[in-house]
Amino acid sequence: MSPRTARFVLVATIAALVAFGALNLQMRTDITRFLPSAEAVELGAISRLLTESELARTLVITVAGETPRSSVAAAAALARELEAHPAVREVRRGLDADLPRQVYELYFPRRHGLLSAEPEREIPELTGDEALAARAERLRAELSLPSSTLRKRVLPEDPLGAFERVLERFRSGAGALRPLDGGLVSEDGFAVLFVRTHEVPFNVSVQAPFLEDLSAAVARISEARGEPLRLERSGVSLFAVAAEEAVRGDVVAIASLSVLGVSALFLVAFGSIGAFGMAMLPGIVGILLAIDVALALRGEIDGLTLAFGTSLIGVAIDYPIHLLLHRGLAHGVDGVTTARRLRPSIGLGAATTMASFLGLGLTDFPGFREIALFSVVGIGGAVIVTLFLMPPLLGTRLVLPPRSAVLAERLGRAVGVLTRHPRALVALPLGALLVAATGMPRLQWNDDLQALTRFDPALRAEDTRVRERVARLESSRVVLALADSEQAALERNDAVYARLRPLLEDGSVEGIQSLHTLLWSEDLQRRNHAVLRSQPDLSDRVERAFTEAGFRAGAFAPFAAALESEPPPPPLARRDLLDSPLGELVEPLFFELGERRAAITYLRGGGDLESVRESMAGLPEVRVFEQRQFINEIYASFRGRTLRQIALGSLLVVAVLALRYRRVRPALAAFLPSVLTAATLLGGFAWFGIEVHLVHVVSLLMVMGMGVDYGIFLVDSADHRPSFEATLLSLAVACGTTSFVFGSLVVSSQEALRAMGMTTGLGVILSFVLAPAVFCVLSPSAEAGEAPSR
Amino acid sequence: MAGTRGVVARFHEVKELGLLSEPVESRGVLYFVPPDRMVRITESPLRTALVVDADQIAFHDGGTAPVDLSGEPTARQFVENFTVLFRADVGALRERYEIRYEPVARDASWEMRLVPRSALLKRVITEVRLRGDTRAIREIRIEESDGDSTLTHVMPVDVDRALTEAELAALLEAPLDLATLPGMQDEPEPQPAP
Repeated sequence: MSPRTARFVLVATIAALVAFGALNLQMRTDITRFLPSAEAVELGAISRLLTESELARTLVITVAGETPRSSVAAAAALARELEAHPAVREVRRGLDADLPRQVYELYFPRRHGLLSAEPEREIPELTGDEALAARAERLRAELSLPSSTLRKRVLPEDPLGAFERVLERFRSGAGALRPLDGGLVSEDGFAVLFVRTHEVPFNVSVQAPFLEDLSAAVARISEARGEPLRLERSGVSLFAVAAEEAVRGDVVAIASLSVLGVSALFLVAFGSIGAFGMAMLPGIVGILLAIDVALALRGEIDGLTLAFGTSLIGVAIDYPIHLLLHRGLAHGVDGVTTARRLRPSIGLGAATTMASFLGLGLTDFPGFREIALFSVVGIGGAVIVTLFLMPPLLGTRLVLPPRSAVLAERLGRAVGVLTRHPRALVALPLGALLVAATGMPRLQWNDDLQALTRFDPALRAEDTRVRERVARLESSRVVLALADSEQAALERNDAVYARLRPLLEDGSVEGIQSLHTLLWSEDLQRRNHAVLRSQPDLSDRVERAFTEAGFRAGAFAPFAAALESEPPPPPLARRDLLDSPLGELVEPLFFELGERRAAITYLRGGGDLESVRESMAGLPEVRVFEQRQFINEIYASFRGRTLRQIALGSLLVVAVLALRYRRVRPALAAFLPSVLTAATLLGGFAWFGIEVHLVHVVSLLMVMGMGVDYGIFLVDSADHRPSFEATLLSLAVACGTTSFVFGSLVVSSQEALRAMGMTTGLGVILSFVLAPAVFCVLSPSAEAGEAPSR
Repeated sequence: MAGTRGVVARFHEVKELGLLSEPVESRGVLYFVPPDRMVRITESPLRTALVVDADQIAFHDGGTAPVDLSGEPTARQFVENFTVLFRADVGALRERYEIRYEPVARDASWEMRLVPRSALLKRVITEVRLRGDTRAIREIRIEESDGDSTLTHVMPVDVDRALTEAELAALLEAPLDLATLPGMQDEPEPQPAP
C-alpha cells in the first residue's frame, strides 16, 4: 500500500468511525447486566429506579431570613425566579390550596372501606355497644370545643370516625414541615422549596450553572429585601457537581505530569513529540471501532464497558511503540518490511491480550460478554492499524537520534551483565515471589463504593442538616413488596405496614413513608365494607347509643343510608390518586417493572435493619433493601467474578502461547512476568495495608496484558541482538509512556483514579523489570553466561 | 382592653347545636398576650388546649402529639377574630366585619354586633354579638349559619396581667399542666353572669 493510500484509508476510517459513533451514540449504565441472578436483576432494576426516581431527582432548597414569615416571603420570591429558569421543570413551595377539598372528595365517600387495617378484629370492637356508648359520650364532649363547627358537619354521616382515621394516617405520615403563608417552614425557621430539573442530577453541564444561578438569585433577593438570607441545599446534583469540580482540579495536575513526562520521553527516544501522536493512533482507532460495533449490534453502549474499554489504550500503545522503535533503529529498512518482521510477535501479543479478555466473556452475564467483545474488537482494530496502515506512512524517513541506539545498546549490556550474575538474576523474580506469597494471604478487600469518592465534609454536613430539617426519607433504605399484579403488591404492602407499626411504636424505626398511608388494596377495602355491614343492627345501635348520650333522635339517618347503599362505593384505586394532586405523593411509592409491580416503603432509622428484616419474616416476596449495601454486594460479586474470569483468561493465554511456541520455556518466559507482576502488586498492597477494590482488579487486567506483551516481544527478538536491544528500548519507552499516562493518576484527589494510577504505574514498571529477568532465568544461554537466546 | 399587657380570664361556654338534644357546656381559662398570642384551656368536660403563638396554631388534647392547625384557613380565621377582638384592634375589626356599636344607657356597658365580610367566614357565621363594660368583654355570642349558637361568658381575673417569659414559655409548651397555670392557683371559680 502506498503512503498516500494508507493515509487516505486511515483518515477515511477515522472519519467514518467518528461519524457513525456521533450519530448513533446512546450510552446507558446498566449494572443489571452484571448481576448473577434473576432476583438480583429485579432488585438491580429497582435500585436503578430508586436512583432515578423523582424523590432522588429533587433538589431541596431551604432559605432562612430573620423570621419564619420573612423566610417564606424570600422563598416565594426565589420560587418565582426559579420557575422562569430554563433548567427547572417544577418548583413546589407549599401545599395545594385545593388539597383539603380534593382529599375530602376522594376519601370521604370511601371512608368505610378505609376504616381499619384489621377489619375482622377491630370493627366488631369499634361497633360493640360499649364502644359505641363511649364514642357517643366522647363526641358529645368534643362538640363543646371550638372545633365543633367543623366536626358537626361530618358527624351525621360518620359517627364511627372513619374519615378522622384517614386524616390521622395522613398526619402521621406527614413530615416535619408546617404550612405558613402558602409556603412550608421547618421547625428551625427555614422555608423549603422542592425543585425538579428537566435533566438528571448527574448532568453536570446543566446542573453546575443552575446551582450558580441559584446562589446569585438568593443574593439578589437578600439585597432587595435588605435582610441576610441563609441558603442550604440537599440533592444528588450537588455531589455530582462537586465531584466534577474535584476531578477538573485534578486534570491540570495529571495532564501536566503526563504531557511533560511523555513529551520528554518521546523527545529522548524519538527526537520528536509527534511520534507520540502516531503511537496513540492505533489505540484510538481501536476504541472508536469497538464503540461503533457495540452501537451497531445493540444500539447503545454501556457506560461501564466504555470505562473499561478506554483502559485498552494502555495496552494497545505497546504495539506501535514497538514498531516505531524497531523501524527507527533498523537503518535502511522501511516500515512495511519492519512490520512484516514484527507481525508474528505483535500478532501474538494481540492474540494473547484478546484471549485474556475473551476469558472475561465466557460467562452468562451480558455485561461481561459486552466488555469482552469491546476489548477484542478494540485490540484487533489497533493491531490492524499498527501492522497494515501505519507501516506505509513510516517509509524509511523515521530517523531516531543517535542516543536511542546508544540507550538500546546499554540496555542490552545491562541484561547481559545480569545474565552473568545468576544469583542477582534469580533474586528479582524470587524477591517478587516472596512478596506475593507473604502478602497475598493478608490481602484485604474493600467493596464499599463510597470509599472511592471523597466529598467536602462541609457539603455532607449541609446535606445532612437539610435532610433532617425536612425529615427527608432516604431512598436508600426501603421495604419492597413485589408481586405480579398491582393489587397483589398492594396487599403485600398492607401486610408490610402492619408489621412495621410495632417498630414505629417502639422507636426501632423512626419514620416511614408508605403507600398504605394513602391507599389500601381493594381486597382490604372490600373486607372493611363486608365486615361493617355484617355487624348486626348497627344503624339502630348507633341511633340508640348516641341518643342516650344526648344527640338528637334521627341525627344519624345519613349514616344508616350510607350503610345500606347498594352497591357500596367503588374502592379507591391508584389511578384515582395519580389523577389528583396526591399523585406526586403516590408516584415514588409504586414502580412498574415490566410484568412485575413493587410497592415501596421508605424507612428512616432502623439501625442495621435486622429488626425490620425479622419483622418481615414469612411475608412472600417482601425484601428489606439497603441500596448502598446492595450496590456494594454487586460490586463485590463483580470484583470476584472479574478475578475468576482473569484466571480463566490466563489459562487461554497459556494455551495460545503453548500453541505458538510448542515449548515450555518460551511460553513460560512470555507468561510468567504478567502473573508474577499481578501477584507481587497484590502482595505489596497487602504489606502496606492498602485495601484493594474493583478499580485495582480492572487495572490489573491491563497490567497483565502488557506483561504478556513484554514477555512475547523479548522471546521473539532474542535470536538477533540488535532486535533484542531494540525490544528492550521499546519496552522502556512503552513502560515510561504508560507510567506517565496512567501512573500520573496517582496524584488525583479521587481514590478510584489514584488506585488505577498506582496499580498501572507500579505494575508496568514491575513488568519491565521482571520480563527480562524471567526471560534470562528461563533462557538456556543464561546457564552458559551468554547473551540470551530463545 | 386596648393597651393591655395581657388578659387572664375564666370562661363558661354554652353551645346550642342542632345535632344535640340539650346544650353542651364547657369551662376553662383563657390567656391572651398581645398582639397575637393566646392559650384557651378547656378544663371540662374535656381537658384540651388551643395554643396560638403568632402564626402557629396547635390543638392539644393530652394524647399524642399536638395537632397543627396552622395551615387550616378556617381555623386561622377563627383565631384571628379572637385575637383582633381581645386587642381591640378596631381597624382590623372593620376589615373583617361590618360593625354596629350600641351603648347601653342604664350603665357603662355596651353591645356590639359584627357581621362577617369574608365569604369564607360568612359560610359559617352569620353574626357575632359582644357585650362588655368599661373593663372588658363579658359575653360573646356567635350565631352560625346553620342555626347553631355559642354563648361564652368571660370572667376576667386580670385584665392587665403581664406574664413573664418563663410563664409564657411554660404555657405555650405545656398548656395542660393545670398545676402551673399562672394567675389561677388561688382564685375561686366565679359564677357566670345571669
